[in-house]
Amino acid sequence: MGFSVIAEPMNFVFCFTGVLLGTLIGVLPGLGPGATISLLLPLTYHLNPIASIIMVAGIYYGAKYGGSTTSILLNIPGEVDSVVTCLDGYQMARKGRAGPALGISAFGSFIAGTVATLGLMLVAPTLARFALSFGPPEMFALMVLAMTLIVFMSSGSQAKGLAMAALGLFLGSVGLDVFTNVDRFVFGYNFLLEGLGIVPVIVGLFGVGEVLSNLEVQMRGEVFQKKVSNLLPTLKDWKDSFWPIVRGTFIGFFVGVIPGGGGIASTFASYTVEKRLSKHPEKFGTGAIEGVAGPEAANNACSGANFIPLLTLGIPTNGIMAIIFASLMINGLQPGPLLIKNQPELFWGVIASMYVGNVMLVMLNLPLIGIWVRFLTIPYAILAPLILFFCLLGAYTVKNAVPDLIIMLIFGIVGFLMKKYRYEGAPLIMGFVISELVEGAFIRSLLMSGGSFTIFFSRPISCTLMIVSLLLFILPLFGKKPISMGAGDDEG
Amino acid sequence: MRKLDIQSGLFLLLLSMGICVGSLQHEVGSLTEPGSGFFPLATGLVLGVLSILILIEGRRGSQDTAGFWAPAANRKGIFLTIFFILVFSFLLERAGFLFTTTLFFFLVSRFVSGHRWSTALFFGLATSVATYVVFSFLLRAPLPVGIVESMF
Amino acid sequence: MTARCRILRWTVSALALVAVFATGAAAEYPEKPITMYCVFPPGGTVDTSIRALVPGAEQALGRNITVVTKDGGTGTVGLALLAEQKPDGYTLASGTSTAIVRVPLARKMTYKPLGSFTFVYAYAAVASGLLVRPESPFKTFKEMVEYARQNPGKVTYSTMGAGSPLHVIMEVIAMKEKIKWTHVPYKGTAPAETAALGGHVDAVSAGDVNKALSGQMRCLLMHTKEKYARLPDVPTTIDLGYDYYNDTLISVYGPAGMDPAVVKKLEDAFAKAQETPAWKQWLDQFGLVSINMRSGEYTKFLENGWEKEIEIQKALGVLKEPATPPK
Repeated sequence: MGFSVIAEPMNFVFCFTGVLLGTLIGVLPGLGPGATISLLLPLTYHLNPIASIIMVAGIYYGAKYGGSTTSILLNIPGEVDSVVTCLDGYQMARKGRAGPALGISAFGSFIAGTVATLGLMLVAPTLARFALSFGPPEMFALMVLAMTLIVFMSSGSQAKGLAMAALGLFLGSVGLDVFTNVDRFVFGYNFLLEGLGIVPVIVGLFGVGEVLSNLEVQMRGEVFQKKVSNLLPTLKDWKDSFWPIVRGTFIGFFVGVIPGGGGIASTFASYTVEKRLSKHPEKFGTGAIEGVAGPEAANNACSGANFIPLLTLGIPTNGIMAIIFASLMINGLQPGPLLIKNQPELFWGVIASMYVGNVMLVMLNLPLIGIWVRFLTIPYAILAPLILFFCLLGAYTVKNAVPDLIIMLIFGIVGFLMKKYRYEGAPLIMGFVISELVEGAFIRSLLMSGGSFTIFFSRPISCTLMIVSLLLFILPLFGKKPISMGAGDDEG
Repeated sequence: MRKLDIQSGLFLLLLSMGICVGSLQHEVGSLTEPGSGFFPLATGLVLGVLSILILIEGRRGSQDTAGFWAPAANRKGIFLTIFFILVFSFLLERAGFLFTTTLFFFLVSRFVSGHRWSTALFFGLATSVATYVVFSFLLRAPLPVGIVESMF
Repeated sequence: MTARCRILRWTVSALALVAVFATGAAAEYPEKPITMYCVFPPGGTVDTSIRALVPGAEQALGRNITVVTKDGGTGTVGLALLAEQKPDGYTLASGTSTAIVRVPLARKMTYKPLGSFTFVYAYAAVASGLLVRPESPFKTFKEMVEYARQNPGKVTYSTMGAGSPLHVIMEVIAMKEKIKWTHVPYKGTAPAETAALGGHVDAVSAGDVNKALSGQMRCLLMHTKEKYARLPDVPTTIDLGYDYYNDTLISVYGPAGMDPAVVKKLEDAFAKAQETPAWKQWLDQFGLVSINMRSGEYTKFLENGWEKEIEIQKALGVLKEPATPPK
């Protein structure tokens, strides 16, 4: 039935517009789907609800496809969640393997997106109920697991990686404290009340920082790709990527259903899992395709799964879902468990559009690979100002605030320095992103239990997660891969 | 002795101390009833411990031959870029988007990339106008209109 | 003619010209498009409310009104920005009264809550209430209060933020009933409601009762001044004798010192906009109550509100002295 909805020309057109716009936004660094969707929100007033949801959804997962493009080509995440793709994707590009990276990324995204849509169709209601049972203690236990995984994230010195994570955790607490309404480390700057924006920080750290580093070594005439060849992934690439894509899809799907589970968390999780399971973890950070395939799949599966709590329970799990929620309300539709029953055309129409959208995206992105790679043959002297400009634009348009530009610049300098002193940006970002979640889950759990720590172990899910974290932490001490301290950071 | 690691380790240590001091200004509370200063203090302490570890690593590490700047480093380019970004930030809401962007491209193209000034100017105008069009009409996002634009 | 005669004529003409310009200025308003800051995030109640109202106002004024998001700090960031703008009527903001009467008590603001703004028009009242999940053992509000009395601190409720009217109202009730329950703050309404739905907290003091209207949750208490037409069986805080209600209003502000003629034009425009079907539909969907409070009345309302809030917060023991001087 859903396919009859999508076959309707209007909806088809909107789907295409959505994914096209989404890809474009995903590609442009800093410009995220959130900003665009909120700008388009007034339009949804005039459109029919199904069409507008289809378009907005298209923008959302389209952006996930496009986000990896600049991550791979320029080490700048096109979309906040694509940060992890920078780690190995960019290295692959520097080795002239941008084509395969982009290709695997697109295919992995397609497979993950389709499977996620399938999952949405089949298990949505059950999964949604599972998601509801995820409360603060479970969230905290999950965060403990996440932090254990950070230990494995670093390519170089573990101490440095953890230090960056700790710093990230600290930076995330800058701003107004949810619990006491006290402002922390704001120093009287009003714009810091909401905290340091994730977009200026990431765009600064990865985008501006990278440009500054590249400028230092006079990369005026240099190009990454001398000629446009090797566009497609090799058979070996496919073989290597298969399991990461499968695992990434599952990880992304589950993380996406949980309230508060974001794309970025799923990509970090996938990356660390792949690194942990790999037979050659040292290769990660130098251009291992598993480090691209897994996270990309996770990202797309996550975005599909994000719709589950919204469409089945009427609960938006992140900012963009909240906007879609509002748009549903504006159009007179009541999001909730009855949505499927009362508006079957909407539900099935959106699902069908997701299948179609994923196909459209793969078809859009593949030919573009050639163009993107050609892009890399442009001398850096021309690329550099363009990159800087898009970073500026992206950072500014989040809140139309000039202070965000200053934050971006500061982190750009920080990023440059970090590269010099051989520290990694990824753990910092991860700490930054989960900071609020960690502190929030911890304090809320204690509020719920009246100060008792047993709450983390008395509930089945959180207890399991805590034990898993503990095992993951202890195991390496007995295993063959001990936690290293400073050995082997040649690239940094 | 890894000089770079010692430097960064020291920096982080100082930073962690600053964080801890700052956190103590707030109500720290206790482990069972954390206050607003609890979490930052915890991160500060962890950072402090780790920075000491980095310092230890640095002492044990092999000798660093490289200095801070790479040989033949384009310092001018870096500092100019930083400066131009500041200029952009300062002017954006006062002079408007088109003017500031064009100026930015012009400056970076000319002084950092070393293009002829005609190329730089062209580059700047093209990008700023194109972006303005995309934003105003396709995305309906208002970009800052400044003094320069309101003169027309 | 004599010199004096000429001087007189010139003076009269000059005065006439000035008069024409003065009234002309007001008569000409609005000459150019108006910018409306929305100090709350996109997709939220305030944002969608102003976007639903603006088309009607645009029609009445004959000019475009562009809504620009400037959110942060429960609306304080955007309002701080508004306070610095010119009071020519071309920059306005839409937000709630919380950023005027509540937040400045706790934190020092760069603006003077009562002195830095022209309070143009209040167009909607929030219909908030206490919601529980369907399986909750509490069938009435009194039951929950009694349970809390027997088990101090065990009953947990979530809200969208500490210090919000939803939090304060629960604490006021606790003070009046002499009970103790535990507040679990979240960032935003959605996670707070999710927590209640999942049973992690016993109830949510929510900004809107849409989940009760759709049947997904049960409403035990309304925070409105009068009985809420769509949930007539649910008691209000006034009904239960607490002498307190959630008086948060969604309104339009301008910088201080706006021309009263311009303000009147805006008031009329917004009043007109409230008659449009788009507005009525929005009200219907989002469950708020439409009100028409013009500038004079609204200003008095806020001045009283300021005093009242200080009183209540001092009684609750959370406030010693206001952090920001009102004027």
